[in-house]
Amino acid sequence: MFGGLITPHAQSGKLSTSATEVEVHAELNTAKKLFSEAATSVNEPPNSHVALFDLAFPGTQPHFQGATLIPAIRAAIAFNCQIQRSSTFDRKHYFYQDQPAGYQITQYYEPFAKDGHIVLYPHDGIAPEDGNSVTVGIKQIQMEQDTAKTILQGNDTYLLDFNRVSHPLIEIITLPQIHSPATAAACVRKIQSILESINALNAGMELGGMRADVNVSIRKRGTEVDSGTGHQYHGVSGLGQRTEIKNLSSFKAVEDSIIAERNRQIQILESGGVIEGETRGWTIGGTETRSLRGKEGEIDYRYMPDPDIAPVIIGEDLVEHIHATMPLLPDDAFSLLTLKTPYGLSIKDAKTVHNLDEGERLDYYMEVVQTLESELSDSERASMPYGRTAGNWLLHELGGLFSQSEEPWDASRVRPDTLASVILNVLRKRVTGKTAKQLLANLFHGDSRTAEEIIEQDNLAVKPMSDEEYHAMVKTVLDNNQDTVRVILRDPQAGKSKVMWLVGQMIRGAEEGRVDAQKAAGIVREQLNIP
Amino acid sequence: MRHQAFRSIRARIVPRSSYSVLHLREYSGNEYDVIDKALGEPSWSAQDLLSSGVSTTADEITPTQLRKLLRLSALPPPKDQDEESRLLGTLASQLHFVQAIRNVDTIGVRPLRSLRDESDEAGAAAEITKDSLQENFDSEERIGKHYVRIRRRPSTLAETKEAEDWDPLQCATRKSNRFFVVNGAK
Repeated sequence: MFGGLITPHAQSGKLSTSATEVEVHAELNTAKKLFSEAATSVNEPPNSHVALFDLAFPGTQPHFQGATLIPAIRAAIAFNCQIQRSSTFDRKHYFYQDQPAGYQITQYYEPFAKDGHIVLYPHDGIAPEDGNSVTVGIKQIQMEQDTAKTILQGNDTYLLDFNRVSHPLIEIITLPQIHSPATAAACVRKIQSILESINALNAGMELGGMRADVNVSIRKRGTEVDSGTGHQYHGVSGLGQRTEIKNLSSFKAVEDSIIAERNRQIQILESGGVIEGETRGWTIGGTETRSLRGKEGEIDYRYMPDPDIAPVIIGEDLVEHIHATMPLLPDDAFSLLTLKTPYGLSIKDAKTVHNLDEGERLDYYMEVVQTLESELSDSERASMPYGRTAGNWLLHELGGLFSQSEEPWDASRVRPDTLASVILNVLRKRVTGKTAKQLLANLFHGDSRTAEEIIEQDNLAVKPMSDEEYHAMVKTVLDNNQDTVRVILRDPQAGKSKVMWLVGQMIRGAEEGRVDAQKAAGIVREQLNIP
Repeated sequence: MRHQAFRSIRARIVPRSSYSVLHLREYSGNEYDVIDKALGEPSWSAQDLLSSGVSTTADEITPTQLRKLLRLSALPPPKDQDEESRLLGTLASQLHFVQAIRNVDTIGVRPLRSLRDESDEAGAAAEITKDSLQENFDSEERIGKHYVRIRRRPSTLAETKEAEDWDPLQCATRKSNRFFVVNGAK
């Protein structure tokens, strides 16, 4: 019932399933901070991009930077949210050295985007028990300030770099509709992939540009979701008491910490205990969550509307413009590549070609396919799987050459029209697959001639056999395999596979690529005088 | 004289759809009368907040509670009976004030966040539009022929408008290289 991780309650199976909601904090890719003219930065000297307001100097005022809305609205559209014409900022109070004002400015009461959703599929890595897809509601997306970077030195000394303070963040809050740890990790991974595809993310989770908090609760069997009983979070009722695990910095940490927390809660409930609402932490590589602060230690953030910041009014034309110029989202790209002619890639190849080299590989692939399309005749286009063949050659052959040489992808190393020309010769059986691989390797390693010139000058083209050569070759094979011939003649119908065996002998005996199997089989049947 | 002042206020507040105004307008078509009435008859006096004689629903504070509060606040206990009575009296009047505020019925009243022009015109003027961000859209590039991606040009240095023309570290009481330094026991 829990993927073998937990022994279910032996008698009654009282405990049913976990419900998780995730909160993802993502650094937006913007030029300026959220409320000042200071520049955002990643690897600049410490405290070199700080405005007076960022350090909360008395008398300074926040100036909302409208341009920070561009990636934020793209994210809201990508996550199918309702964008609010008017939204406001609030102060979330807490006292810590990474937040000079004593409060973080966030959108608690009236966020700019609400009521969205994200759909997760098996190719996103959801748990098998989640079937073909899971739709997770997104309660809201809010804009907020990041905190300063803190470096602990020794036991109790902190070094502070305020470059990051007030860097614009969005916080994406899902509904508690995720029921397995693998699916929660898939959700966070997909959020990153979508944000990357719209250029909204400053850096991925692996570089600290995204962090996640998860809320985990266990639901008792017999208590249905939305039953109006139990605990209710974001309008979803029938849930157990939840705990929050904060500040997860990798997809694996999301998955592992939920497994550990779910197991801990089940153990407590099964032994008759009560789950305390509390904040817990997770150490990478750990096996259990640890309590950070209990309910009595919960911080009262004293949220209050920020009187210094006017409501943000988002123009309809702005939303329309951003909507009309949205880049292709990952799932739309996958549908195009797997379902639409002429691509026909497997989902695995589609994901690979999409995810590599920030989209450059996909653009290259589409150019190769377009070139092939223009070169092939109507009947060739109808009969040849050139989209799939191009995918294989790009990912496995050309991709293999790049990985062997340990060099980064470079689209100009073998230009798309050059790869298309190699593939065209393979599709038309002008060169054998083996020869084509060698040809591509030569081009990769700097042969400056065109593929056609190399084939011509190095005499690489398959020389088709004449009818006389076919007949002579068939005669030799029949003479050398008289036992087989007798079996075929006794029962020509049953002997069909034996005919193909004879053809196999011919292919093996000839120069690679010269024997056309169908033509050879026809001549065998002709000489044996069978249908 | 007073009506003149109201007229100028009215010119500004009536057109907008703030519901406090709508609320008043439900009672009468004559806005002057309504405003006169609302402002002409005080419904409370600041004296009420100070009067210790007026009954309060706040519970009496006992000397034991007083001592506990003082202890929690790290304040010294009263020296003698007189001081204790004085402190209890002060505390009672403070609680009276708090209670008076708590008694105000705020159900359905939208909290005042700040004083600003909330008219439709002001909203339209503050609107963030495509045109107002055109410069930012222009600083993005679209790359790719078939799979078109957006890139904010990383080379575009933000025009920081003098926001960074100062050295934050000058106001650090403790620093280490370019870092601020603080102590924080775990």
